[in-house]
Amino acid sequence: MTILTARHITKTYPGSQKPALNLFSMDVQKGEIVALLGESGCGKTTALRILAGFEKADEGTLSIQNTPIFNKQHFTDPSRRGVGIIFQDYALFPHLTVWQNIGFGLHKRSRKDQKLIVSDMIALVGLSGYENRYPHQLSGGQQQRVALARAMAPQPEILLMDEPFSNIDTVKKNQIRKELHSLFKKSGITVIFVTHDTRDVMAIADRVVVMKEGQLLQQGTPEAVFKRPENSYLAHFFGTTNLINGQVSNGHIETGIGHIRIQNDHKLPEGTKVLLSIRPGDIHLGTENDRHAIQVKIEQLRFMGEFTEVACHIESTGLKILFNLAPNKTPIGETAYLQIPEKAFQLLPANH
Amino acid sequence: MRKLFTRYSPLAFLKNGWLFWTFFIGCLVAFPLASIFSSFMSVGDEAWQHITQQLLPGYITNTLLLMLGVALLVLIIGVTTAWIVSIYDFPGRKFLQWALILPIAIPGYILGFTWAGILDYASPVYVFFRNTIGLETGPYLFFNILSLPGAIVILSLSLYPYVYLSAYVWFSQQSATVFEAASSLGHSRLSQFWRLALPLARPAMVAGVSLALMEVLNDYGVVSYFGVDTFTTGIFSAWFAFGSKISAIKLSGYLMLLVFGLLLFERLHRGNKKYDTLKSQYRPYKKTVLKGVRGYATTLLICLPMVLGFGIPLIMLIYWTLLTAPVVMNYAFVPLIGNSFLLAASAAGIVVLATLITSFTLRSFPSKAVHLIVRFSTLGYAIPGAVIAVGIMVPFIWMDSQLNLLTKNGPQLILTGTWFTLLFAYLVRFMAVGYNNIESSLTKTSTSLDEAARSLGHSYRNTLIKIIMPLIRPGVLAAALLVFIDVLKELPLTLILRPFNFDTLAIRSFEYATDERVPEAAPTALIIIFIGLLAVYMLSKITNTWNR
Repeated sequence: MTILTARHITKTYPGSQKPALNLFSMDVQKGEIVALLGESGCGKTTALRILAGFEKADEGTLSIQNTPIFNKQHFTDPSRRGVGIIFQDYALFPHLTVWQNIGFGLHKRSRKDQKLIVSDMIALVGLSGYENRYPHQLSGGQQQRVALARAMAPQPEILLMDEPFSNIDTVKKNQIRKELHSLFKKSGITVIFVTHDTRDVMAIADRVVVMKEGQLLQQGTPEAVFKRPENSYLAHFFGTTNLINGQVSNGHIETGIGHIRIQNDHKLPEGTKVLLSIRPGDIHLGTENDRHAIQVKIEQLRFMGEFTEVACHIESTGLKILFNLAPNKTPIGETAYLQIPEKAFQLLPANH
Repeated sequence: MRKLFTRYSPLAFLKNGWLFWTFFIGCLVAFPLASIFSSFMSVGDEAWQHITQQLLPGYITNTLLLMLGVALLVLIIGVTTAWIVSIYDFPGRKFLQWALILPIAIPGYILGFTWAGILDYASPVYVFFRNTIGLETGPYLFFNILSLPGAIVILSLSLYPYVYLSAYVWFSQQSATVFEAASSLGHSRLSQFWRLALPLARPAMVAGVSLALMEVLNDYGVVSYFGVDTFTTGIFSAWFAFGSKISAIKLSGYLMLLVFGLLLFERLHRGNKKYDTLKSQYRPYKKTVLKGVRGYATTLLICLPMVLGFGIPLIMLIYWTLLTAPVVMNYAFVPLIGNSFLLAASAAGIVVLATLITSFTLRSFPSKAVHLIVRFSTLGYAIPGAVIAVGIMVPFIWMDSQLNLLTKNGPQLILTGTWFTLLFAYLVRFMAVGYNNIESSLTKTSTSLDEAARSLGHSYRNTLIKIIMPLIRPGVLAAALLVFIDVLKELPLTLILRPFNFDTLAIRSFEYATDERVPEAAPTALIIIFIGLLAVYMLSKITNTWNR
C-alpha cells in the first residue's frame, strides 16, 4: 500500500538561482525503509524538510495515505501531519527528562494513555532505568534512542530521520544500524532517512533513492543500484569502480582491454560510445593460460584492512585498473593476469 | 546553517498572529518618529523664530563639542585601561578588571551633582582645604565644574565603561599568535598597541563610542545641571519655558538628524570587516608581570577612572545619606519607592513580552520584511528620551482634545499624563535592551528544538512557552533586569510624560539636586545606584550559570 506520494516537488530558496529540488517525485510503501542518498547540497535534506512541513514547496503535490498534505490550495501544518522526525542533533529538550521528552508529543492523550505509551516506548528502545535522566546525562547512542522513542510515541504514519548515524562513533555504527533495522521491522513503521553514506544504505534500507542537483537519479534496492548503476556518477558514488571507454562494434563492445561480449539489451546502434564499469571486487587474479586473461603491470599495493587494493596498468594501452585481493594473497612479481567475468561489466552511457 | 528567508505576502501580516503583532510593535516605534519627522512640514511659531535665530547655533555648537570631547575622553580612558588590563599583570588587576565597569551603575546626572557638591564652596572637601591647609582658591575649588568641560569630564567618567567593555572583550578574544608574530618581527609593546591592537579593535571601539555618544545625546540631567545648553535642554525649554510644542518637536527633528548621522557613522565604520581569528587556534595572551614600583604605579593609574567615577562619589553619597536620611526618608518616601518599582517592573514586563514576540516571530517566520521590522523596532535605543517623549506627547495632546470634543466632557486628560503613555514610551526606548539579551540566548538554542516540538503536534505558542522560554530564561531575566534599572534611573522621558504630581526616585533625586540640596538628593541616588549594582551582580551570576 502506498503511504506517501510526492509529485513534481520543486523548491527554490529565495536568493538562490538553482532549485534545491527540481520536479522531485517518489512513492513510499507502508513499512518500507527508504534512504535518500546524495552528496551535500543534492536536495535530500530539503526533501525531508518539505515532507515534515518545515519548508513549503513552490510547486508539486504531497499526500499521505491519499490525503493531500500539500498542494496549490492546501498546506498541512507540521503539527498535524502525523510525521515524526529525528534530527541530526536529536533536538532533545534539554530541560526535560527522558520520560518528559518521550511524552511531549502525547499532550492530547489522557494521563493514563501517556503513561502506558511512554513506558512502552522506553521498553522498546531499551532505556528502562533512565526515565528521570536529563539528555546531557546520556551517551550519544542513548540520546538517539530517546529521540527515536519521542518521535515514535505519537504513532506517526512516517518516521523521518536526518543523517541518523552521523553523530555515532564509527565503532558503534554497525551495531546501531542493526539495532535500528530490527526495531523498524519489528514495529512495521515506514521510515525515510537521509544520508550521504552508502554503508548506511546497504545496512538498513529496503530501497534507495539517489539524488543529485535536486533531482532523482536512480532508485531501487541497494543491491540493484550498486550492481547496476545507471551512469558513471552513480557507479562512483557506490564505492570504487573502473571506468573504461568503449564503442559498440559488431554486437560487441570494443575496448582497451579487448572485445567484450555483452548482451546489447539497449539495442545500441553501431559506433555508439559507451562506458563500462567494473567493480574492483569483481576482478580476479588468473594465470597466463586463461582465456581472455589480461596482462597487466602491478604499480602499487594499498592495504585496506579486509582486502588489498592493487593498482595496475595494461602496458600496451596504458589503461589503469584497480582490483581487490584477499590480504593474504599477493600478486607474484610485477606482471599479473586478470580475469574479468562477463557479468562484472556494467554498461553505462558515455560521459559527454 | 545559513538563514533561509521566506517571502510573505502583505495579507500574511493580517492572517498570521505572530506577524501581525510584530508589525504592530514596529508601528508603535514608528509612531513617535513619524510625528517628529512630520514636523519638518509644519510652520514654526514666534518662539521657533527666536530659537533658530538666538539659541540654535549655541545648541549645535555645544552638542557637537560635548560629543567630540566625550568621544575623545572615553576612547582614551576606555581603550588604554582595557589594553593594560589585557596585557599586563599588576597588583589588583583581577579586581580592577571588573571594577572598571562599576561607574556604569551611577547615572550621569547623579555623578554630576555629586561632584558638583564635592567641589562646591561649602563642601567638606573644600572646607578641609580652606581651613586645614589654608588654600583659598576663590569661589571654586580648582576650576568651575559647572561648565562645558566639566560636563564632558562627568559624562566621560560615567560612560567610558561602554568603550572599556567592548575593547576589553575584544582584546581578550584575540589570539596571542598575532601579537607574538609582531613581537618576533621586532615590534615593542607600544608599537603593537598602535599598529595592531588599535586598528584591529576599531570595530569594537566604534561600537563602544557610538553607545556612549547616544547616551550623551539622550542626557538631560548633566547638561541642564551644568548649565550647558544643548538640544535636549533646548527641547525642555521650548516645551516648558516657551510653551511651544512646535518648537520642541522641530528641535527633536534636528536632534534626530544628528542621531541618524551617528548611526550612519557607526554602520560605515563597523562595516563588514570581521577580524575574527581562527577559534581553534585561540590561545590567550600571556600577560607581562609588572613588579615593584612599576606595578603599583600601573595599579594607581588604572584605578583612577574607577575611583573618580565610582569610589569617591559613592563615599560622598553615603556620607550625605547618613546626614540627611532621617529627614528625607519620611512617610512620603514609601509611595515614591512603590511608584518607581511598580513602573520599572511594568515596563520590564511589557518590554520582555514585546521582545519575546518579535524575536520568536523572526525565528519562526524568517523573512526580509520581518527582519526589517524587528531591526526597526529596536531603533529606540538611539532616540533620545526627550525626543520620544515629545513625539508621543504632541499627537496625544491633539488626540485628547479631539476626544474631549467628541465626548463634550470638557478638558480631560485621557491619554496624556497616564501610565499608559509612560509605558508606551519606555517600550519604544528600551525595546533594544530587551531584544539584544533575548536574541543572544535565542541564537544559542537550536531551531531543531522548535521543529521537534512542532512535529510532535504542538502549536507555535506552545513551543514558545514549553520549550523556548525555559531554555532562554537567563536571557529573559537579564533583559527584564536591565530594563528595570534603565527605567528606574530614566530622567528626560519621565520628566515630560509623567502624570501630574507623580515622582520617581530619579526625578526626586534630580529635583533635590537642582534645588541646591545635594545632600538631600543622596539617599534616593544611593537606592538607584544600589539597585544598579545588584543588577550588574545578578547579570554576572546569570551569565556564569549560562556558561557553565
